[in-house]
Amino acid sequence: MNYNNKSFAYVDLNVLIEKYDRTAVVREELKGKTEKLNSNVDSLMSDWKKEIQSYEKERSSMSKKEIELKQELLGNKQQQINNYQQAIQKQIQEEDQKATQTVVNDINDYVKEYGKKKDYSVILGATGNGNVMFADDAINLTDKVLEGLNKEFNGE
Amino acid sequence: MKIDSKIWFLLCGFILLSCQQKKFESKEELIDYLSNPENGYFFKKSVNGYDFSLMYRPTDLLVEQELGNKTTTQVTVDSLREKYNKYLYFNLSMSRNNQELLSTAPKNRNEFGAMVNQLAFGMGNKVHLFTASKDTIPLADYIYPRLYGMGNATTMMFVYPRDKKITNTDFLNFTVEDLGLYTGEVKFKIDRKKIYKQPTIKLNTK
Repeated sequence: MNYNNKSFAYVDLNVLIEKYDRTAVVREELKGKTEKLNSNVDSLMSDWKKEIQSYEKERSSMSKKEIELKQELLGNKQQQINNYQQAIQKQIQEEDQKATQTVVNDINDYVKEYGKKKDYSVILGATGNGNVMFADDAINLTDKVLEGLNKEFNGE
Repeated sequence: MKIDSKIWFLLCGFILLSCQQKKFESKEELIDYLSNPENGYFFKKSVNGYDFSLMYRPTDLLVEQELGNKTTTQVTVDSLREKYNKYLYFNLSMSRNNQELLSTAPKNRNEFGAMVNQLAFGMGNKVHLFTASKDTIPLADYIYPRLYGMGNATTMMFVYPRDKKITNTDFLNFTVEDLGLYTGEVKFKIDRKKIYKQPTIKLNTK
């Protein structure tokens, strides 16, 4: 099949993801969520540490039974904080995955629309992993696509 | 001069024809037309194994639904058209392996409960319609009929007022936020002109 330059092009996906304005917006949102979730863990940890300190101070005046009970209580609390921390890490990962997918969806949609409008037969997405080893700069649409993508996102 | 006027006449004719609304003999014919993505009223997308589709429902489809097979007067048809034309209607379908979301997505009882709640009461916060310049059209209402696993997809109808903001935009964005399915935000772009030139049905009148 004889493809001319017009029907065959590529975009650098890494550049698109990095320079797309929405990426910065979703990263900022994610950062806010992560900080909020982590601050919950921090305050739980600090409460737990305070309890440990007070236990160590009062330990000498406690009976054997009381020490056992307090240790069990503190151990349980530590386990609960660990579980919470793990759940939060999972939640952060999930949020990250959703945010990335949103950006990828936008890029996919725009490249598809651009290709149809400009009558391209194929637009490849180079990710730097060897799927496009060499391509002439003349068929690199990254800048044009990025410009349109950002314009659309910013409602211009 | 004669040639010029002929060209002018042909051009006017072409413009008039291209601006005309399509008219169909029956609801089935209209649905066939709407279901063809090439016509700009039906959109389909697959993300991470989930299939999303959106269909714009023209006013006459709603009018026909209310009238059924009854023959009525032109006055009634006109008043129904006026009533339904105040809003935009969209059908959103979401599925995985041709099954409803509730049959495939939740992994346990808690997730099932959360998703039922989300679909029944929370979609207003997850689905948005906005113009190219990001003016949001507020949701009027949405309907989620439960099919209890008998449907091929989770389908709901979203209703938006035919806002003035729509006149100043080239296209409308219909977005569905991630519902916990790792699909990210899914967006459909609807050509505004298509909504204005919405197809009609030849309704039975006396």
